[in-house]
Amino acid sequence: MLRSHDVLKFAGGAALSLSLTMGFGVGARAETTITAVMQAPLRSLDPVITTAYVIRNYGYMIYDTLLSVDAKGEIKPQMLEKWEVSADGKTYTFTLRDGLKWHDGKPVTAADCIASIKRWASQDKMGQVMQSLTTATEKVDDKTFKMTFSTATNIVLRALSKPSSLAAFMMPERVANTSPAEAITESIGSGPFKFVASEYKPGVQAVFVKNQDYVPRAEAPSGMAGGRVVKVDKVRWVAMPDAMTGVNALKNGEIDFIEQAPYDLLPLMKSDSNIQLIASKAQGGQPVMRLNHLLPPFNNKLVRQAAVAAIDQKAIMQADIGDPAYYSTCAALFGCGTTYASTAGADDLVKADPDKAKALLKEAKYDDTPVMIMHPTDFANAGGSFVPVIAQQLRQGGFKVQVQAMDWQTVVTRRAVQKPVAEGGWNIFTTYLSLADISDPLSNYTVAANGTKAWFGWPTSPKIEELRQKFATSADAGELKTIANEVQKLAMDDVVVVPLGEFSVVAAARTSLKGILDAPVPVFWNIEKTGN
Amino acid sequence: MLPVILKRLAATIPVLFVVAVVIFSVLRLTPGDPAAIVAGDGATVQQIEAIRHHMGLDRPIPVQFVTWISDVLRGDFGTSLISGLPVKDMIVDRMGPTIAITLYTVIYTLLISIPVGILAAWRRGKAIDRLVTAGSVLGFSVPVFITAYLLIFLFSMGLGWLPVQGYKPLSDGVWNHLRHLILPVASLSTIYIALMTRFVRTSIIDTLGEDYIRTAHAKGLNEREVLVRHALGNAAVPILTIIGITVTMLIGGVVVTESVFNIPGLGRLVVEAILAKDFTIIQALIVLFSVVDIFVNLVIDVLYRVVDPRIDS
Amino acid sequence: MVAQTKLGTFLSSWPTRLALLMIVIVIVMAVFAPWLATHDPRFLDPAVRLRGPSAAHWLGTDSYGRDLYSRIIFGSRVSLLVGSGVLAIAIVFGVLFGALAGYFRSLDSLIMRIMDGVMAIPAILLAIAMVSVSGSSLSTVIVAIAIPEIPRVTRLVRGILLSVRGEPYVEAAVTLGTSPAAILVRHMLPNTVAPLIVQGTYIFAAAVLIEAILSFLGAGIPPEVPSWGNIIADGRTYFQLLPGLVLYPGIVLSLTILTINMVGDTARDALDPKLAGRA
Repeated sequence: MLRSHDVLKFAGGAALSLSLTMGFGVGARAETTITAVMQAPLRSLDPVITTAYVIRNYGYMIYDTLLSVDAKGEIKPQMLEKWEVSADGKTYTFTLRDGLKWHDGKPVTAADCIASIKRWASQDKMGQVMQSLTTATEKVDDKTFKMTFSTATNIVLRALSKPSSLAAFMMPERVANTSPAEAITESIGSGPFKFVASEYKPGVQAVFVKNQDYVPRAEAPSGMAGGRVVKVDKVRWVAMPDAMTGVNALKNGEIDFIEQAPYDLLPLMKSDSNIQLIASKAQGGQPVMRLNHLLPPFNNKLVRQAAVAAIDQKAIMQADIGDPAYYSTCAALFGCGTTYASTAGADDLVKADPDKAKALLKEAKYDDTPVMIMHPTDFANAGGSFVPVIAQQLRQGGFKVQVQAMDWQTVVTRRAVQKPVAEGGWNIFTTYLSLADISDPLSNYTVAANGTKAWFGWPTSPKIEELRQKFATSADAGELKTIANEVQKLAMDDVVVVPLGEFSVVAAARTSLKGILDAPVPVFWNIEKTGN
Repeated sequence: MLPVILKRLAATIPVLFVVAVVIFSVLRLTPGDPAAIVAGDGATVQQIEAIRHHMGLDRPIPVQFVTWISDVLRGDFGTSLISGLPVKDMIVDRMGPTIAITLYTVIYTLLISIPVGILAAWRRGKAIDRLVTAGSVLGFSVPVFITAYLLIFLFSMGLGWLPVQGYKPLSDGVWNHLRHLILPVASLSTIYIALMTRFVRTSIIDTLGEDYIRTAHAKGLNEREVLVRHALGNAAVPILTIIGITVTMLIGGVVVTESVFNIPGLGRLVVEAILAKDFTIIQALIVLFSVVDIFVNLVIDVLYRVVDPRIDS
Repeated sequence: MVAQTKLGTFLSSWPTRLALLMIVIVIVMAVFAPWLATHDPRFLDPAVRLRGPSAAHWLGTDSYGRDLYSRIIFGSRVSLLVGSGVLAIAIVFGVLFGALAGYFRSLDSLIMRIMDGVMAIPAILLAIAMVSVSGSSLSTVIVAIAIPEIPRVTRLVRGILLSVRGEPYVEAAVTLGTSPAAILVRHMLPNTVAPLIVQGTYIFAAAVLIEAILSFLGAGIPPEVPSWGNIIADGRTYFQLLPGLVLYPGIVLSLTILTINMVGDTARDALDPKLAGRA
């Protein structure tokens, strides 16, 4: 009978999944396993077409990068033995170091890297700028390749070494040849961990084992650079949909690590002698508010400036983070305390001035068109929880505000719609960017101002675009700073993007974990586990 | 018997068609776009468009429906739009915990509610009956997540007896498996125990009023024999019905329970898929749940006839 | 009449009186919310977030610094709105479809197959999917909860109509040439009133409960609207820090559902003893 056949199939499936889990972990030697809860569960495996941070973190587990940035911000070789620049500054020759192998045992070649760079550059904003300056990429031999640019520039070094979205991960040539519109589902890298595909359950768990064949660099780890030495056998990422459940599981020793502990629950963990809290500014972020430049009323610069005047960063960050130890107000687009930090033109940003907002609205002849702000209700950590506060501040500043609650995935979908609000468009959305992503005018994609080709919100400012192009080609530190300062000023005046402050991320770990690195990305190399 | 079963099976086809149409149209009217989700935070409109085209989401909806139905009929549920893995594999992977929770909940519910219900019916109107009745109304009035949090607060955080969350398959040891499921099953079954106890009680009271029970009493059978052999036997039919009726309710409850206790089952898979707009998974799962519901009710229908041959089609 | 005496005896029992009292309290909360509340339930004050009970905030504040007591008071409005909205939709469409199916043989199997199909889909999943599709708003939530309830009412009405179809007074009306609408309204549908009252209270209670579950899963009423489900959903993260954020609204919610169910039981036993136990 049809039905009993179905039942048998179900039973068979269940038995199969049971036996799979049973088969594992029967090793003779005691294994060390770190069970970690990451900021979001892993659901897809393509770090080149997806900018979600958890997929970037996955990328750093199994892939390797040609270059990386150390704790001091200096660019260091990672997969490379060395690189050489021609006298005219236009040609770069890259040489791979010895002992690099893909997880399937094949050697890493120059051809693999060329294909990987090509796919990555088609997706990454900085990669695209680099691509537009590239005149030739050629293989010299199996371990060497050459890139030539139309002008003297060091953009290739900055782009290939940048730690965050999108990092330039190297993949085998046949994987890298996948169309950028199609997500790769394979996970063959040359990085310090291997992905256990048979134990991968999207949205539930991802398992990595130490790559025994990986040859780490000899240097000590520093930032993202240096030797990526794995000191445990296995890392399991598990999903924890409920924040409190996660904290309780950590207290009970059921898990070892929470990448981003919920700020409000920190008091519950501070008192626990088995738990260490590690605040990291490097992994912190900048919440931003984005106004839609295509639609009224924010197609009017004065109305945008009124929104800035209405905003009060402290109240927003207080609602979002709570404990002032972990947040600060900050008017610098490229992050406070960074190389390109500047607060030019941001006088109205930090504190609310409702009267000024009202005056600006009056000057702009604002006609009480309600502004629609998207409120992601399932995006608990930084990025959505403060939307009601923004709405309240805008109302106090004289705006008519309509808050629309939706899940984060709907926000992601809807923010791509360029039509009027009634036809599925929007006026305001909020998100947050990792500080690693915003440190300069090129990598901070929120300042791109090339109209409908820019990031959602689509600001147009030829002047900013010109400056960003200049930033790509310049190699002079002083000039770079001047350009960044100029971009900050222009972006603030035109209200290209509204930074709302800065926060640190607090990781919570069992005290049995030692050697957790303070890098811009949470990494699992160098961590030891002793006892429970 | 066989013709009856075949007839019932044939009758499920239009029902399943309705399920497919309803769920497909609800989903495809959605503004959510899986392509935008796959593309991530930094993507441009142009990149999203390319991914949407690759997923086939830019084709007309009727075409997508026909493609989907014909694939499903061939046993192909497609691949997840988000993870790119076959939907079938993802479902098989997540099935174990859900089967365990629902199975234990049904067993536990029957173990508690049948004796308690009989006891209340037997002592009708007495203090114990009123206690049971009051308890059962309370039981199905408290939302399952409130019960769950109270139990976690008490037994995991307070007394430290049981784990806060998680799921261990049977292969990790019987006790390890069971102790992770005690609180989820206890929270989930509260409502069903309440419902079932009420039902058993009234069914028994109904049958106690029937003539043959009086006859049995008159024949001098003792109270226990009358209750268990005759009254319970005849109350079996309505009790079976309610098991069938509550299957869809149970699936709803599993969704909440799995989310509170972080159990990687089908309930969480479907909620995640809905929030992520992963159409292929939602469609497959809702069809699966509906098939289970229809199938359970079919089995119960057949069991009726075994329990009570007087019923015909 | 028997029913009246029965109603009388039940009203004299103290649990029923308490239940009715609770319902009156909730209605008073909803109607007089602006006077009973001490704060604007939507006013955010991040500076005083997550505080315990105090003189200024009787039950403390939530994660946005909103006043918990005032939110619970205003929450009663949403619950009553959801309950009565769902009830109205379910009864109107359920009676309509049930009458069509129960009276016109030709429509019966079509309607009932569709109802079977809708019933086979788990109600909560259908509701989450619908809210996720249409965006969260009060009306979406009401419709999403009501749709799975319609088949239950349809089945009930159809069953009763089928059972009275053969009754002599209906047959007589048919032979007299009375129009179908008149037969339905005058002779057949009155039989459904008592069972519908009983079923209606259970639908009301279920609607209040499902609203809370939807909000808990993040697919409910927009979060700034104070509903008991939203308050609990917001507070669950802080359960261990401030259990009151979950417990106070949880108690009010559970008590409300409990008392509506109790009233439903009373009505069932009083109005139609035959229905006893068929919840």
